[in-house]
Amino acid sequence: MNCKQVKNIICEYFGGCLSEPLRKEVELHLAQCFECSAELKSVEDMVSSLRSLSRRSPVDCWPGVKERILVQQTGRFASRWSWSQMLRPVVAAPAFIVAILLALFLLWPISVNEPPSRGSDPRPDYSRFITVHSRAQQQQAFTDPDVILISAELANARAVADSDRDR
Amino acid sequence: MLVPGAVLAASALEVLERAEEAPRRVSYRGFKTATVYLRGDPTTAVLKVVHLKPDKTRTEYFTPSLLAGVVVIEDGSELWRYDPHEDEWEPIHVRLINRQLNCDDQHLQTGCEHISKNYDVRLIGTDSIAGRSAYVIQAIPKYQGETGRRLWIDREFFLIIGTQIEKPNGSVVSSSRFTKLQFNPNDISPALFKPSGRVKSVPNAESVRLHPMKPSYIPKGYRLVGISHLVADRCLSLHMKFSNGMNTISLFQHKSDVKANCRLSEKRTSGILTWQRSGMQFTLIGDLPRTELQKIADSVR
Repeated sequence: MNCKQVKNIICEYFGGCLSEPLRKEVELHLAQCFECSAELKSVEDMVSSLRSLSRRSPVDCWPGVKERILVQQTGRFASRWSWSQMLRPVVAAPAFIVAILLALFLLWPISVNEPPSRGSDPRPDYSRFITVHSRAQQQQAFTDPDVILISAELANARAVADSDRDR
Repeated sequence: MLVPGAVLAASALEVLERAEEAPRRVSYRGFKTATVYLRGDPTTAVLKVVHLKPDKTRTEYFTPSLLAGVVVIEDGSELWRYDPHEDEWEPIHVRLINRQLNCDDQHLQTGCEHISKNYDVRLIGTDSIAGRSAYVIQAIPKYQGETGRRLWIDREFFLIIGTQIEKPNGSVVSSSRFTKLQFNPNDISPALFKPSGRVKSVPNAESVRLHPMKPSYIPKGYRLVGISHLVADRCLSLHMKFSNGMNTISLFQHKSDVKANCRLSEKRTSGILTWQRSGMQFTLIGDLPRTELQKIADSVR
């Protein structure tokens, strides 16, 4: 197996999609070829950087922020409140009513006709239809299915971003 | 290179006929770029396509970041989409049900005859893409509001290796072309066309029955070309395809059901329209002006 052949299937090798004999051939070549090993390394780097593109904040700052808020709150409560004060009827009665209302709100069955929660991300459902629609092009028409998928996904993402901004 | 003088439209249609058959006759592997203009802003995608004749295709998206890591596999009637954020494959089972709905298969067929009714098709020259010599075909729509096409078709294998969609004023809506392409490589593993890793489980939805609602209005030149069931994420949907030979409109419908995680929020984004009516959820997707999509949606009963 030569460098050109290996480079053509390096992604499949990385993804574990090659047949056993082919995989062994690639490994044999990689063991001897610095250039192809470097190519494999660049694929690995690219995939690991793609995987790191999660939806979370790029800076893992939330545990620190949460800790500081808790410390401040605890300090304030410690200086102003005590358990004996919490148990006084004037505080306990409204707190009990609020707790009951909150429980009712959370446990009440949701009506089928109610609009979906605004926090829900419609992307997976649209993605499914966009995928099927784009592939339908291939069977029937002279339009690139990949262009259809990309443009529909971009339009959908932009609409999601617009609605997030409107909230 | 421009073809001098009058080139017969018939020869352009012959090239298109062979292009329609090409994926069933040739395997290929290559890298492709696709540029989409949304509100005038260009976004370029880079992807890798591996196709094993007659009907297996694997597409891996590298950019833009929205699609980075997404993989779509087609294996005949099976379709899988890999979501890198979820790290799992979603299977989408597609089953053609034309006959069950008393549709005449012959009537549903499309092809170059259909194209020539809706477009003026011309062979306008030859060009080179990814080191391959290609015919350049131009398709000018006969009806207002439709977009035109320019296609680059490989002269040896008749595969479409470049596309461009243009508005009537000549501005480009989208384009795609292979940057590297290899025909009939002998080392494509069939394992590429099966999902590797965690696959979402899909329960059997055979017992569910859907009574399809059809649009009484579809734009001029379009006709119904296929109806299929698709099952994904515990949800059975019906998919109706309408085509004018070049462009396809999809109408999806399924029962509104919160528990089945099928319900979508109502949305009117460019090219996508969703709405609920009579306990059903509808999604309409197509490269048409918003007013046309709305007219189709309003006519669905």
